[in-house]
Amino acid sequence: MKMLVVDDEIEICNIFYDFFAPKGHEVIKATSGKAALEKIKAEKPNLVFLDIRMPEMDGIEVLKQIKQIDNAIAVIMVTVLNDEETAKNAIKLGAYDYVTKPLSFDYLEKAALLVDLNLK
Amino acid sequence: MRRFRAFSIRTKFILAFIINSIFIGSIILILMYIMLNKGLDRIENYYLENEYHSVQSAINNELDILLRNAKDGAYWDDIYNYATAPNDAWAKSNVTDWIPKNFGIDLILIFDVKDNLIYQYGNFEEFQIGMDSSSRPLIKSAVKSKEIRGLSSTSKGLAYVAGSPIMRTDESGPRNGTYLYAKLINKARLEKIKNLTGMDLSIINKIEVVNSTAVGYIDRPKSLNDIYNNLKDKQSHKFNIYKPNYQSAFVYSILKDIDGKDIGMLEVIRPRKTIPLVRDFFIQSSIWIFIFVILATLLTILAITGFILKPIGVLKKTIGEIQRTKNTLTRAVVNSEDEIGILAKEFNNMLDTLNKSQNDLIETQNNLIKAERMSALAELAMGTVHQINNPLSIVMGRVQMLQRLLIYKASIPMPDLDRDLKVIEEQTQRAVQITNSLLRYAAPITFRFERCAINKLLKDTIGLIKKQFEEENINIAENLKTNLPYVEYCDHRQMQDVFMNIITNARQAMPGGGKLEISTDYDEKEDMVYIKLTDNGCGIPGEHMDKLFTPFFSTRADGNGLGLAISYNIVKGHRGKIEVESKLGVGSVFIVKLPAGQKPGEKV
Repeated sequence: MKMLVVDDEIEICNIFYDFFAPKGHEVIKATSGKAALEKIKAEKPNLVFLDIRMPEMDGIEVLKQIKQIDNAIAVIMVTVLNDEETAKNAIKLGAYDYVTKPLSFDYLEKAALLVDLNLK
Repeated sequence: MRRFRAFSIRTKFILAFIINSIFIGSIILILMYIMLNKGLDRIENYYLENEYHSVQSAINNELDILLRNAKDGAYWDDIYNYATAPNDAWAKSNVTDWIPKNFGIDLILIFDVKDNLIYQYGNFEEFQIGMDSSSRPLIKSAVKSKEIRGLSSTSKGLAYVAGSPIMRTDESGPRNGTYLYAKLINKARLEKIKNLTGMDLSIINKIEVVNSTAVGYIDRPKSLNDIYNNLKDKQSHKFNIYKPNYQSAFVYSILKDIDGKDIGMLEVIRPRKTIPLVRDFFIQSSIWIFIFVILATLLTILAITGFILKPIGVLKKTIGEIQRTKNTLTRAVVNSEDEIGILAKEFNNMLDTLNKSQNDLIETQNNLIKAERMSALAELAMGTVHQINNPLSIVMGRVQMLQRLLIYKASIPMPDLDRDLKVIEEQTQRAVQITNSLLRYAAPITFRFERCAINKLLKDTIGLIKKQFEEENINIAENLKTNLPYVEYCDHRQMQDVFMNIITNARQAMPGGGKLEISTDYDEKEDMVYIKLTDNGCGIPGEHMDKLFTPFFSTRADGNGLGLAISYNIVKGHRGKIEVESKLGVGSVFIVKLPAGQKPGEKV
């Protein structure tokens, strides 16, 4: 499965990479909303992990544009605990689900699996 | 007009009154003066009439006396006999030597029954008492029938004339001739009438020649000829002249002789003593009344305005006191219940309302401050969470990965372990840094103040970054003011942090290179040293401007958002200010203002 990790913090992206890459997934990293949209157009990933809090273009804005580019792409929002309201709004806008930081790898694994199953 | 507005109420009242008094007073006085003059005219005319009549009576009286004297002579039997048989010796001793002396007679004529002149005393020709050829028959006929009296013109002046038929004492027998007396109206006669009537008068004879307008001290208002012609035209026997500006009033009448011929004029002059007297009295008393009224009214106005102004003064004092002491519990004590009393009451009510709303305002303000503090605290907490969350997430992710390796593979490959531990160490270090900064921001800053040359401090700071800036193609321009005053109380190290922070921000705003201008200046009026740092970087968006100095506000992923917040606190600790101006795409200007001589508090 091809997945895109969007976070302004490169170390967060690295975690996703280090976790999913050994499992045979193709993991692409983007550190800004703008870069993310470019990569989505070029690489057409199946799953996007999208951080909500980012400078310049925030996650919600990126989500809206992703949904315009390709509604089929599954987007999982990444947020902090006290910002769940925004995350819930994101689901209304078409996000697949949301995860809170600090990240739970059990959940990440399950989510990736579910998306993978839905694809098949 | 503007000056009038600035006058006090009392002055306005007084001015209004004085204008009013002068205006109305003048009108009243002028009217009264006119009325007084008219009244005085009437009184004068009345007296003039009276006195004219008394002069007339005096003249008539003289004539009556003369006639009685003549009648006494005419009814004397010796005269009766004399008229029949004239006897010169008898006439001399009984008439000529006796009568003129005792009765002041100037002319005695005796005619016999045939009207022949049989006796003459005085100059008959001189007198010509109606005895010229034309008028003689008239006199004669008049004398024949009855006694007669009247005026006559003589070459010596006017004269009284009286005549009577000669009769027996017991009136038995027929008329036996005519007996006639004449008396010159000479100076002595006039004096007598003057004394009798108390009037100034003159008998004017020979009107044709008298043309003078002056009699002694008196200026006649018109020439005598004019007056005579006027009287003749009016067919009037009397002519009054009264002019207010003359010192005397005049009355004239034509004098006729017994033949009805105009022979002269009677002039009665009345000195107008009362008018100037009354007028002077009037003017003097008017002035005194005026002064009295003005004084009385001034006193009244002072008293009334005192009554009115006293409560206003109390109000004014109260307002001044409130302004001075800021104590809105002060109240104006005014006892009157008029409009000003009501005003004072309303003023007090207003103060009550003001107090209430002030209290409300303070309460609202307190609530607001409380709410703001809460929100600031919440923001701080939220910022901390966000800042700390990322490194924690990374650490936790790495730890979970290591755990999984242990669980599923029972061993961790060395490169993986090495990589994960390195990341864990880095991120933990980062979290520590964040907490340290937070501590530094939240904990009170301790300053070590000393005299500081700002220009040198800036040069030192520039020295630290010069190389890096050159590498990044950023040009530094120094524009430092010479003779810049020392900042007497300055924490050298902390202030360098502030400049370093601003310079770093500028560097990050110019990723492709640019220009940073550092200048200093001194504001003598405010005793402030200005440090101005201008870059031509990307600028700050308007919506970020008011959040610039709030903690954890950062647009950079690697920034913790505390740099400017801490700088702000440091500058505040120096009693200084940081001001920012920025324009997107043009650049930003940070101005740090530090008081040159003022000693700030030790801690903030």
